[in-house]
Amino acid sequence: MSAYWPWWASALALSAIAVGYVHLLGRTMGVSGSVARTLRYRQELAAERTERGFESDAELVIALAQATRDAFGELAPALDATSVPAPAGALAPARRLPIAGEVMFLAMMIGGAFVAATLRGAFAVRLDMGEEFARLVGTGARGLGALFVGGLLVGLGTRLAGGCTSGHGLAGCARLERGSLIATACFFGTAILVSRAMEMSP
Amino acid sequence: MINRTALVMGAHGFALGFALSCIGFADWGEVHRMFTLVDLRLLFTFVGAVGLTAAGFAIVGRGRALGSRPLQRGTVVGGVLFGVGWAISGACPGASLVQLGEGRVAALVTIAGIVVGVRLHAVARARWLTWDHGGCES
Amino acid sequence: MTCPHTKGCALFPLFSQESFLAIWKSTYCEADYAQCSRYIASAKGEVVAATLLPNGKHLTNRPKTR
Repeated sequence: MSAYWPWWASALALSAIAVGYVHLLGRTMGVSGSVARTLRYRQELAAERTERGFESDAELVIALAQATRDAFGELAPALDATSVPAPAGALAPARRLPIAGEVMFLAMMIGGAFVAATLRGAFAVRLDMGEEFARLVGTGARGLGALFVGGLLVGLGTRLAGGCTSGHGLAGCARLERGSLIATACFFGTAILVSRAMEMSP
Repeated sequence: MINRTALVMGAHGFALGFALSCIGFADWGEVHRMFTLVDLRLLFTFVGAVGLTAAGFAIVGRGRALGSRPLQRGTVVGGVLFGVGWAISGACPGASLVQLGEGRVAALVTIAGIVVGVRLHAVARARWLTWDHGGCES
Repeated sequence: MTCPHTKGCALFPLFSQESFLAIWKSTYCEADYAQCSRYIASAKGEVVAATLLPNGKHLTNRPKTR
C-alpha cells in the first residue's frame, strides 16, 4: 500500500502544472529539452547576449537595412527610429525562453522534491535505489553501472526522439501530436517489455 | 538575467518536483510496478493527466496556437532507447532530479549518464545527423 | 522551394514586412536556403540567435543617440 497520492490527485497536479506552463509561458513544458538547453548554457547565453542589444523588432529592421546595404550594395534606404513602422500583422514568433529560467526550472525540481520528501518524512541520504532495484538490477558497482548506462540511453534516446515523458508523453499526447503519440508508444512499450524481461531472467 | 519569466519557470519546476515526489514517480519500485502492470495507479495517473491536460489546453486555447512539431527521424529509435534506459534506471530525466532531491545520491550517476547521452547526441547531430530537424528552435 | 523553417524563423517575418529586405528572401529563403547560415546552424543543432544573418554575419545595434 503506497503512501503516495491517489491517481486522480496526481493526474490533477501534473495537468495543472503542464497547462499553467503553457498558459503563462507560451511553450510546452519538457524536462529533456530543458536539460539539453542547460548543457549548452554557454551558446544559449551568447545568443541571448547578441539579442539583448535589440529591444524591439523595429530596431532589428533598422540594423537589417544597414546589413542589407553591406551585403548587397545600395539597395536599402538608411533608416532611423522614426521611419520604421511598427510590424503589421503577426509579430515575430516568440523568442526562446531565458536560459536562466531553464536552469532554475531544473534546480527547483530538485528543491521541490526535497521539500516534498522532507514534509512526509521520506527524505534520507542513501546510496541504494530501493529493494526492487537491488533484486532485479543489482547492487554496488553493478547497480551503479546500470544506472549510468540507463541514464546514457535516456539522454541519447530523449534527444533522438525530441522529448521525454513530460514533453512527448504529457504535453504532446494531450495535443494529439503524431510524433508524440508514436514516441510515447515506443518508450512505454519498450519499458514494459524490458521490465517484464527483468522479472523473467533467473 | 533572472527576470520574471525565469521565476515563473522556477516555480513550475518546484511544483513539478514536489508533485512527482508525492506521486512516487521517483520510486524505482513504483515505476517498475507500473511497467509490469502490477500496480495500475501510475498508469491511471498518466492517462488521467493526459486527458486533463488536453482539456486544459482546449480551455486555455494557447495549446493550439503553438503549432505542431514535425515528426523527427529519430523518434522511433529514440523512443526505444529511452524506454530501455527508463526501465533500467527508473529515471525519465525529471525523475532522476526528483530522486536526487529525495536524497538518493546514486541518482548522480544516472544524471551523469544522461549528460553523457545528451552530449553524445549533440556531437552526432553536428557531425552526422545533419538532416532537417524541422526548425531553428531545437 | 521555400525554406521549411520560415514559420519559426525570427528574421523571415521581417524580410516579408519591408520591401527593401525582400532581397534576403529572394537570395536565401525562397531560393538557395541550404546556404543560409541559420538553416545550416539549426541542422547541426546549434542555437540560432535572432541576430544571425543568412550570410553568416551578425546584426549589431548602433549605439543609441540620446
